[in-house]
Amino acid sequence: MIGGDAAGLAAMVRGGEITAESLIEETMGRIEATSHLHAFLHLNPNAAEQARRIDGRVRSGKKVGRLAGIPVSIKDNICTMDYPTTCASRMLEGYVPPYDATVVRRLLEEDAVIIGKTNMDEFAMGLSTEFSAYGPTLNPHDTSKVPGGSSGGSAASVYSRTSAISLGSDTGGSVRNPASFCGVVGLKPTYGMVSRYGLISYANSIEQVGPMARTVSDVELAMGVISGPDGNDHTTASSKAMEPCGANPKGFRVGIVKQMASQDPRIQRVLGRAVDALASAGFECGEASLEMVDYSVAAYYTITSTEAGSNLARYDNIRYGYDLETAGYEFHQYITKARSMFGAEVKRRIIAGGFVPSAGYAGRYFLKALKVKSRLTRQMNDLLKEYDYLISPTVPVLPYDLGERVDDPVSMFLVDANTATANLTGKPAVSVPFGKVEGLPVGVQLMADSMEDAPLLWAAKMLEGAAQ
Amino acid sequence: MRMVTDEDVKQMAAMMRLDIGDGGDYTRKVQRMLAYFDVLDSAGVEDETILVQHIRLSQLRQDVHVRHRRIECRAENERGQLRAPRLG
Repeated sequence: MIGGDAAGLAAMVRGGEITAESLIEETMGRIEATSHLHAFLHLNPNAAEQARRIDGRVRSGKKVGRLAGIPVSIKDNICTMDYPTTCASRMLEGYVPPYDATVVRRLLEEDAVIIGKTNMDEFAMGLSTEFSAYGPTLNPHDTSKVPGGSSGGSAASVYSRTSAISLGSDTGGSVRNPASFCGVVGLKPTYGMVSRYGLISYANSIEQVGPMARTVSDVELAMGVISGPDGNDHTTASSKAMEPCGANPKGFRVGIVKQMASQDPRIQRVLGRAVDALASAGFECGEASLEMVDYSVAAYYTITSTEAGSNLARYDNIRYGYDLETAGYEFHQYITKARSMFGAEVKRRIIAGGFVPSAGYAGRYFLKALKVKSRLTRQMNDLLKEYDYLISPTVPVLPYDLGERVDDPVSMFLVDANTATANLTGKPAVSVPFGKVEGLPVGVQLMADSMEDAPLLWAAKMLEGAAQ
Repeated sequence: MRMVTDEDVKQMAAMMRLDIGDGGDYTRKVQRMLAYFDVLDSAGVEDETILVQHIRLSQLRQDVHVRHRRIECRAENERGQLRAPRLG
């Protein structure tokens, strides 16, 4: 039952053909059967009760929402009232937010059942979910491989059918990268399309909450629920509605970004097949150049380290935190003791984030990164006058072995090479699974202009159809 | 410009209130990160104008304390404070 699409399942719950309770029971059974993947950090103890309430409303003929009874998982950096939100960090162990994030509230208003919180790299700093303080998530296709990250738990959960939809967050590819590695669909919406209120901050200027699902239609359904202006997040824009498109592909142009080509010929062959499929459907495909992509990863890490250094300064154990003994500690030592709960990767990024904007280094790193971001945005805007969509492999490498890249931060960074551009420019981008190489999924990324999320998903459906 | 040293990294960590022990591995990895960021030197963006988005203060939500009913109702509430887990 839970292998079906979310819209179809919700319709069955609304029509009384199945109960929300049975759906949640089945999901909980799947979670137990796939617990070795370590996709979840916390489960919602009230999920079954919430499902029964939805069933009660169906029986009494009351209106129920678009996501009636659908099991949805939430990345552990998005606030959920009544059960923990830890960012996969010891620093926030036991933290129970007193409010729901706007995206969570909107899901609940449509009668989704939040099934639990998914594993992630600590504070979303990573690309493999190996930097979780609670241990890594495993790739459901091959448990010796990473599932991608930082929303690796979400992607593994969607693929292993322990949630129909999952919300992740995407700062440099953290939704699309695990979507690609786990063989599911993942969207990084236009910056401002989805509220960040209740998303625990890492790099505010570029991060977005984004949905993952097994089909593009389910991602579209989720976006229809979570997107739109929010008075609690002034960066949300009055966006175009997520209305389905029905246009003919003829006349639409797709640019193949040459700077995003993979060095792996097997991945390039998958991309070639995706381009051929779009061309067969009527899209006009041609090579496109986006020179600043070569500097996007360095600019991305410079900017995010700076913002992380600032955002994570709040964890000083003064306003909230651990109940520490104060006796025997000087004031700064006390804060240092509390901050020992950060993991090594988080500490490294905070330290790097201390250097790059500071006197003597700012002109060399931070200001230059902002200029690269500006130039990249201009180049992208120009290119999107020529092309409706840009296409590339989502990730230039296949899912790699657990532990393979943890000791070399730069080899880890380069996994972001094709995804960071959409974050730096604020554009929407989606990863669609398009075949496998040696049993491991390969995702193809489509990007479009700002606020063109609905047409982007329309094109993604074409790609998805061709992949099947 | 010189590469950051072990002492630089330790000093930055101290300012950030982070304990990094003898610093060795942190220094190596932070040096590697900063060395990679040097690729920005060849981007040729010196003349680029930084794009900024101006937002009026009136567009921002009120900067006021929001009292959450859930906090006020919790049993472990002690004069508006919550009992936190004890650090091991």
